[in-house]
Amino acid sequence: MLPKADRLLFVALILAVVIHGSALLYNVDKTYDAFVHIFFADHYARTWFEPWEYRWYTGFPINSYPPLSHQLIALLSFVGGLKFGFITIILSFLCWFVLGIYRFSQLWVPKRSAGYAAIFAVVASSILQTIHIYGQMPTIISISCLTNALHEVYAFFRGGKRRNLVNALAILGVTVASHHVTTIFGTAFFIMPIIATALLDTVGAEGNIFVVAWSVVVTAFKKFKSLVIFFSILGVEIVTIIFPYWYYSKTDPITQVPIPHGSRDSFIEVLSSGMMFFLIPTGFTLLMLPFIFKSLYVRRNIFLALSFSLLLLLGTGGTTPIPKMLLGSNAFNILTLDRFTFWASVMAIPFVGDFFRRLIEGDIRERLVGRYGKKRYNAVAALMIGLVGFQVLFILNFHKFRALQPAAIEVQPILSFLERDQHAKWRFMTLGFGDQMAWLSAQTTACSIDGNYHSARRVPEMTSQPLERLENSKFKGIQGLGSLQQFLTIPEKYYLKFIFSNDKFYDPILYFTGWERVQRLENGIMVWQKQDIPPLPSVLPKKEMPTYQKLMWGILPVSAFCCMLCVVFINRKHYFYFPFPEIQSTGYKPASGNRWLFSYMGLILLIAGFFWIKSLLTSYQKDPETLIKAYYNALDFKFFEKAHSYFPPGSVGFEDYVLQLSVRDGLLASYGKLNFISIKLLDKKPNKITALVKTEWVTPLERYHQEAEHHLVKIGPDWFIQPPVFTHSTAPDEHMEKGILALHSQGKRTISAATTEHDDVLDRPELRILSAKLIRLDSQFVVVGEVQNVDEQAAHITIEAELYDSLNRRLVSYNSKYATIHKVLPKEVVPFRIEFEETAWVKQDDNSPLKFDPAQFTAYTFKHPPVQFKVLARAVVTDRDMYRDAGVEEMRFSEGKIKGEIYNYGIEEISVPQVLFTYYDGDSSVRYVDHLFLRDGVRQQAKQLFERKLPDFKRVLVIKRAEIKDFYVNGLPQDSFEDHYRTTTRPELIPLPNGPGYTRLQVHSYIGNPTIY
Amino acid sequence: MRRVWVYGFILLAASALVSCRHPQQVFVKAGTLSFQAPDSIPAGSLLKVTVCTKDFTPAESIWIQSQGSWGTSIREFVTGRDKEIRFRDSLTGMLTLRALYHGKLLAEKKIRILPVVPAEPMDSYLGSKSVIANGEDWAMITAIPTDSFGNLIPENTEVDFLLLRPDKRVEHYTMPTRAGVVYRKITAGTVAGKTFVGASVQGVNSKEKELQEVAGFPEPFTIAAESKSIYADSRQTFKVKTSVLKDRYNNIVPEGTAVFFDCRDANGTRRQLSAYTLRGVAELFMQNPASAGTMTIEGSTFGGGASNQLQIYFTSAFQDIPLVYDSAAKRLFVGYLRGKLNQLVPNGTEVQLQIDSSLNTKAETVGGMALFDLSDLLKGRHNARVTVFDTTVQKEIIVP
Repeated sequence: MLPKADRLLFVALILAVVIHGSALLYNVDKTYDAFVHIFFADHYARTWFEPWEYRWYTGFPINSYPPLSHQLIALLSFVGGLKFGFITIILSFLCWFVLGIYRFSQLWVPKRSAGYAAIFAVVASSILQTIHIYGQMPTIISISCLTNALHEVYAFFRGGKRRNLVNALAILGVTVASHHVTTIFGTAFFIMPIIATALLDTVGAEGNIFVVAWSVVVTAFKKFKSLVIFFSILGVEIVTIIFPYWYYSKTDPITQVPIPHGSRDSFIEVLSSGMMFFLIPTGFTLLMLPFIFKSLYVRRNIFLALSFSLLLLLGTGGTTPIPKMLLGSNAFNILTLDRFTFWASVMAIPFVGDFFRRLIEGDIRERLVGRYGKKRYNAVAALMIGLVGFQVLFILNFHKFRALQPAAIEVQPILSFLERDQHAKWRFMTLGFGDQMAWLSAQTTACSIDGNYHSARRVPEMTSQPLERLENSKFKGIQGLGSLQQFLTIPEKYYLKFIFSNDKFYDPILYFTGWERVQRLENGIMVWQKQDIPPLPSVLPKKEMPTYQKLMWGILPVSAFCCMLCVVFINRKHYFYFPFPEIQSTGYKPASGNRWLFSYMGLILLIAGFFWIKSLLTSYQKDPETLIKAYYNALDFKFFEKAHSYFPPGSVGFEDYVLQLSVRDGLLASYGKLNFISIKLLDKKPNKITALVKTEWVTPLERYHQEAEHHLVKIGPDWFIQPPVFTHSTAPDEHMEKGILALHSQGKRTISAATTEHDDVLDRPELRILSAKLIRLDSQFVVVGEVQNVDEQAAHITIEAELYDSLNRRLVSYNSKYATIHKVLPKEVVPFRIEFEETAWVKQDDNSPLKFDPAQFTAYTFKHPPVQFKVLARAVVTDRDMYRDAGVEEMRFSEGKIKGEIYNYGIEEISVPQVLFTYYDGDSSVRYVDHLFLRDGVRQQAKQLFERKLPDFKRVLVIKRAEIKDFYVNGLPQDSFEDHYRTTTRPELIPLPNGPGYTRLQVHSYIGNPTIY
Repeated sequence: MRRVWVYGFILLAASALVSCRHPQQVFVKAGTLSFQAPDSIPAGSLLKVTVCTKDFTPAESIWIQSQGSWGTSIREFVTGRDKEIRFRDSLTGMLTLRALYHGKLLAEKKIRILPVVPAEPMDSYLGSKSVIANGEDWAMITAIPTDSFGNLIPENTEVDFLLLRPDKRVEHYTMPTRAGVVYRKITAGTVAGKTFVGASVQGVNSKEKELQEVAGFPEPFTIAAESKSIYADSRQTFKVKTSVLKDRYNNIVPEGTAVFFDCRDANGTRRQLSAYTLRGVAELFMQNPASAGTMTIEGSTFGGGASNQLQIYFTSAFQDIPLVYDSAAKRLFVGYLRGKLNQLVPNGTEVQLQIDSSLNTKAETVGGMALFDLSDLLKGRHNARVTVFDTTVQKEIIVP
């Protein structure tokens, strides 16, 4: 009868299920990637053999990621749903991993230590992080298979039994099917050292080193046939099982800008990256490094020692230049280097297990008890176990210290909305959902223009940016928002009609690009829509894949899994049996090592404790610059209580302060994010300092540079900042009464799901383009003009300009963005300005877009200069966002600027006011259009100052003045409409101070919190 | 013995093949055939065609080809067994029957399929859905009457159009169908409102159609001020209201019609404000000016009329601006600022201070007084200019 496994293995398995099973129930929706894998699984549950996924981006091949883990979830989803499938699979493979670690450990440490290692595998920080923070199920599946296969590889190369070869290859097949990267790097960092160690064990490690080395080389040549067989079959497995993946990678390469990853940062400079990608995954192992190195750097373990050292070094990312030198610049920028730390931490588990065995029941215990007594030993042992326990609790509850995802969103109301009234016939986008957008997608067949799998991004606006997804574009600064605003400006290109917003940060950009609020769902999500977007075609383009590849993709990975199950079942009696002499602990000698090890541990703990206590005791008020930074940081994150604590005692009450803040609205107050700060101390006195603070704020619309003077006073040992001056003005009227224009467009549709009848087609308001010009501003081509709604209904307008060269070839087209009012009242005249950006292609047959960098506006590169253009305006009836009760007062020209005040005489508070400046030539045709977003909002019966530099008209070169034949309204030439108006004088035009021409100002108001009637 | 059977089978099979490739020549004698059927029938009704044959041997197959609007079909007629053939065609047009016997045309008969009575509802379309009630603009009502099978009714069938105009007049037009379609141009009246249109033919009616006749661009209008106070305090508001905006036919302009207001203040600054009409009247609240004098307001709608120039006079809101400099505290007190009724100016009234043309700062009044901290001012004489709205006073400050 073969010997049984150590009893601790079963303890470890029970712990794995209990700890991880219970924690996963709470953590599964808070991880980074769990929902992405669930989405992929949902794809297989719906269409097993169809590799094209329509729901993200404009479609992408699902075979861009190894399928096994997703297919297994898909199979289990038929039993208990997708989340059930995910949790069951990840728990099952975690147990498989524990088994693997137990077997892998037996190659390096005694059997009893392997039992301890199995327990430590359950609580290892890298495993906890991979499951509960990252949700990376394929990594767990692949590492579990790899660790199980290593034992077989060792046995094959040492014992030469075919059974071990079959076992190893069967298990490695599953590794390939679930995560090919682990197989490839695992071959280099795990399998090769194992084979080398097996060869070394065959010849014996003792004796003269050169003799031993020569013997190993000779043995390797003797086992050349085995090596060839093993690596050939493994190679065939890697190629065959996921052949469609390799085929896709080779034939459909997507050029993308690499996405910055924290694992490539210098962990000293970016402490948060160091924390996430080095300290957490190494965890307790970091304290064990002297023990591990001592255990590894013995002659028998030298190959594993080198591998471990290299992995640990590569895992340090950009902290040193060595990883980049070793990997090369290209690989360094593509790989996420935390994988190396993960593998290093897995490699260390056997030795940590060995440490605990020796600490609890071995020579380290004896040494400690003998030298320091039982009590001190107990304290040390308790500390070690306590540290591991702390590590477990910390990582399992990590999301409570640092939220990785927005609060859980109930997706049912969104699903109901998509199912209702054929809303799923358009694409949608989510904002502020985090990875829950994948969970939403997994439950609907509606398509999203965004996605959560950046490797498969196919939309040029995204691939040209280091942007994972549009969903979190605000975290990518102006580059992310630049990409987002392109989607919002030309949504018809992607049939994008609905946006589900969970973050009001994006509201201004949505509003000023012409989107409108439809309703707030029961779950608090605001639905935005864009009018006049065509529905998705009934047949969407896709990249077809050969049938044999579809069959391979659907059959081979699962077959590999079944094959592994069969092989393991057949050899189950031998599975826990290590057929070679038990390995004894070597390397580390408690007599000499304990002092070093525990001193090192103590030092590390002391340093950590020192920094922790220092952070608790640090005062931000010891010097003025630190105080100002802390103050702005508090403002940025809306920590108003903290900000208030920096004011001199008694200067302003906290209640008064927050009340004053609560009545302020505007781009900076409500939507700004601090991007940069510089401080210059102007007037230094011992107890009083004036500082000039320059800040740059990123808002959804623009970047703002702000300069503010702050007065700081020193009271006692601490500096304080004087509170801002708030207005004391009171409104003249106690109550305001105002008649409001309210419309409701309901059509004449019968309430039915039947196809639209002719009568259901809504009337399109008639527009009149008054004038338009193609101008060149420096090197940039711009179309400016003015349009009037001559209809009796309010109109939502979309204005597009197409440019043509001298041979009448269409060059580019783009829509008006911010410099217009998208909702136009009857008889109202609004200006428009259309700029042409690099990705300015509205229709699918346009030229491929190039890169776009909104931080430095890159004008479209014209191969042929545009000399002609067309303006295409179209409109639908609108019934929203018609606030017009704001205007310009005290307008005057001074110092080459237009100055004035925006006065709000309506009953809504304006969150973001925009002033539109229309400049006219002497004949009242539009010469240029400018706009200005004000930083602060305007309350009712209040005003806000503004000033704007007059344009330098010498820079504005008119290329072409449009004729009426260049204007198209609702798809028809404008001259086909009958005129029912007369040309009148325009008394509202104000003559410009220097030279001919006029100007006119309009206020466009975004109401962030409209009154609910 | 078995081989004999095999050879025999092969021989038989070969004979059969040979006989297939060379069919026996058949000599037939075609008799005479005629169709007895009506020249026309209503669509959808059963058509019975009696086939009369003469001199045909019994059990001969004659192929009857029918070619109609649905296409061509063919069926077998066996002499001696069949007496008649039946058709049912729902599509109007010509149905041609041909009798073919061994590729030879024996007879041909043309039968016209006629539309049946029109069916409800009659398809009708009206566009555009709105016109300007100016007596010139027009829309068109189009009807396509069909029977229950979707066949166009006969040419020149007269269709009645009844229109109820916004001025309560009922108009009746009768128009014949042309190519199955009948249409009538509806010229707008001069009264805004809805025109309802109904079409009927042979007792069959269409759905109700609506045409919006809306007011055109507004004519010149007047504006007036209401609830106005007389002080240029840059705070209180007054209402500017237009007369009812109407087009040249006295129709009130549509709700929401934009009206632009342009104002010239006494200090030369401009205001550009907008409003929209409700029941034809646009109104907005305008803030009192900061400067005493006459302000001029004019409203306009582009493409339409403009208003009169409304002139309003405002008097200064303040009595004077007292300044007190406290050299010990190095503070400048502005106030108490009082209005014409001896009331303190409201909190938040902006006070601007300029010192020696270099230092510009602002403060707001609280309790009628504004306070400036001048502790950073250098020793010596300084000229302080304090401005409240359009009133400026100066004072020399000596910092010891």
